[in-house]
Amino acid sequence: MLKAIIKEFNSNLGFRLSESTNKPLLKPRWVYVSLSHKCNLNCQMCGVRKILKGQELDFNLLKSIFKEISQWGSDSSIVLTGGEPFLRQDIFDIIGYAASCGLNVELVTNGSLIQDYASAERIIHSGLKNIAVSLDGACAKTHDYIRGTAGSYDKAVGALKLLCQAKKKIAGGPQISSWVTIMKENVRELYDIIPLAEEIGLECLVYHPVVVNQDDMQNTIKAGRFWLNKADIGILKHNIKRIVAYQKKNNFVHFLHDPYLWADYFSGTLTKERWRCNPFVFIDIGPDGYVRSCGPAFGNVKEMSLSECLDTKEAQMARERMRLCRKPCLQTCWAKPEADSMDNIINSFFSSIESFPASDKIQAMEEALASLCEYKGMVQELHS
Amino acid sequence: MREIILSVTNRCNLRCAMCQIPEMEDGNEMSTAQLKGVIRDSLVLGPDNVVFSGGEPLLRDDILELISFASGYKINTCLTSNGTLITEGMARKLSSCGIGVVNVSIEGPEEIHDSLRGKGSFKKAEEALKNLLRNKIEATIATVVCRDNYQALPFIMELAHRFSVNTVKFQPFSDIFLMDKERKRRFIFTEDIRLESRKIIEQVIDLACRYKVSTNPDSYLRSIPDYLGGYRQAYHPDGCPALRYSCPITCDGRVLLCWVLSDKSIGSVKQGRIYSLWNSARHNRLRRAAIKNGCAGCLMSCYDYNPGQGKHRSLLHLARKPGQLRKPGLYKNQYYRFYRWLRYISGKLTNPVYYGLSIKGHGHLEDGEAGAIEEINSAQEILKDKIREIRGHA
Repeated sequence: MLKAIIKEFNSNLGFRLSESTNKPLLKPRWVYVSLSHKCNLNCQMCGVRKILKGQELDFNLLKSIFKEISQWGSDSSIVLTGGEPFLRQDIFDIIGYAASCGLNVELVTNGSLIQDYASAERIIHSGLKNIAVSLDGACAKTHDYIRGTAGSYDKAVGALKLLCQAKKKIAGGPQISSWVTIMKENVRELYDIIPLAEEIGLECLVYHPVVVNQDDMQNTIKAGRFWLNKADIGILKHNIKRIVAYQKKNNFVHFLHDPYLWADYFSGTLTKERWRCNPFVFIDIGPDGYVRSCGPAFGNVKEMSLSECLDTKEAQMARERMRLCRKPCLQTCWAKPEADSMDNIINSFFSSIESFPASDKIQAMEEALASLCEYKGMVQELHS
Repeated sequence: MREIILSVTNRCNLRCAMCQIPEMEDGNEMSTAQLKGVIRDSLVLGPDNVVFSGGEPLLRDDILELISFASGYKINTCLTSNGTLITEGMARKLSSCGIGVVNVSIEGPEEIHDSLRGKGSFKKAEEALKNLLRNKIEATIATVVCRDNYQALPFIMELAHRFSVNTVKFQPFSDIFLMDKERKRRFIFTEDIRLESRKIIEQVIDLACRYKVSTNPDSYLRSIPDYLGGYRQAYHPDGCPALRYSCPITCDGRVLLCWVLSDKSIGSVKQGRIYSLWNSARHNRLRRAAIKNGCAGCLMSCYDYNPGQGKHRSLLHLARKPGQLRKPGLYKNQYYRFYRWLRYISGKLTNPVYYGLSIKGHGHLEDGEAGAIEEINSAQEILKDKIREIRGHA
């Protein structure tokens, strides 16, 4: 508990200082690696398979990237994504190497290639920390419509069941999770996914709203296509209430942020005051090697190291642009509102350790002082 | 009003890849008398420059008459041509009717130029430059920067130096003259090219300095790669000065807000007088709306004011001497004066998204790193106080 509080204090502090100096003092929490844009499904909300065809990140390049990230000493996670990562022949070598570097490796898949027990078992034993299978509806009709391929629902659910079955045999193994993209087609079924997830035996269920204007998706999604209209937003609010009520009893549903923001997001009333993009927490490496977090690319990992990419002039410009962006997109990259100023960070830290005994309080505060000293050293180095 | 841009015809003898004007319907071309009327009416507004554009303006039989009419009023005239029709005889005629500047479009070396504009056009354009210069007409080279020719930009500067052309105008490709908008994919930059072309732009700026050729302001040139790469949209954060000082008129007489916002017409010079249209309530309203929210921003060369031979140009030329400050001071001052006035007349106009993109740290701190250290120090003080307090209680 105390550790979590200190960790949060550190991340808030890192964000605050990184933002005020516009230097990547805080190393990215998530490094998304798009292995290739090849995919076997044709999902309607995703246009990546139409761009950068035939480009792939080389295994040797990936090795050097993983090695570099493991030397950062932060708790960064590698998220392997694509396209469909399992279409790569050397995917298990990649996972194995990253895990051997001591990194948290996560993977996002559509589940259509995990169709027998042997492959599910291989995934469970591969050293992954988390595997996320996308689930877009509570019934085959919706899911298949969104995914653009008949039978994809059965495959996804089948894959999840196989994974859960294989995981029961061993202690540990990856967390088996499912991500739901909220959009017009499935807004009525959001709550119905929960019984389905219970039946499968999922450990984690995450909802996130669809993104219309994502630069790295090259605007292939037409605005308004999946967008919720006024009536749908009413249904969404109703479903959020039910999900929140459920979440209080069972904590396998995870919210990345306050779910009531979704309704404001879809109705266009979400303001910057309630939502802050965090350009330092998330980066994405495309199959062509370009690094970006949102919008224009920072640099190419084929030419320079990852930390150099994060410190280029382009990176600084892009972060400034993200800071000024007026269209919050409610994805994983966000900062807590209390990271707005140093006073707020300290105050929230004090209020969260209020209930602890005095000795714990002193210990926590001393740790906080130590991390302040550490950051001070970094900033002073920049200043000189 | 600084310049009035008259598109005298939509007809053209070339079919260039980046322009589909000749295929657009031209309505009814204005007659000689109507065009003369427009030029005469615009005198009240005091334009420095009349630009005859098109299509290919030399395809009009009465173009020489129009030019001599305009230069009779002591207005600088400018002709935008592809150069294919400027023979020795035509150059002599142009010279005798007092033309100010002739823009000849050249896109690069022969193979690139011919692939974009049609076979044999480069030779003719080169010939046109020679003919113009021989007859002591000021010729400028105009280049549309796109994916095909971004590597050839230094070549253009070399060419200008070889022919001793004094001005080269670059303009990034824009899809406004295309009807089939899908075609633009061929011209815009990919990520690799965007980064590569930056170096080329620096080369161009160096060459301009060395050869004393005046081109667009450095900041304008430097923003071309980002613009064509699809990132940076607006060159002018506070609204576009072109709305106030350049007046485009299509060949069928419609007065436009600007070439990009061509769907909004202010009125037709066939019905009303240009001086009343220019200051009409409708025009002012549309301008204000366009400045506030109607315009995504562009890098058209309307920003870039080429006054021909005169004190402005000679000043610019001076500023280009090597060793001197290379900032486009003259342009900047013009712009800022204009902004101040614009702000004054229309309240606060800022677009913070693109305005002042600074790469310095910010976060409500005025001085990035020093401010951050101060914050850390105060936080440490607070924590230490608190620890002391708790220990005191214990």
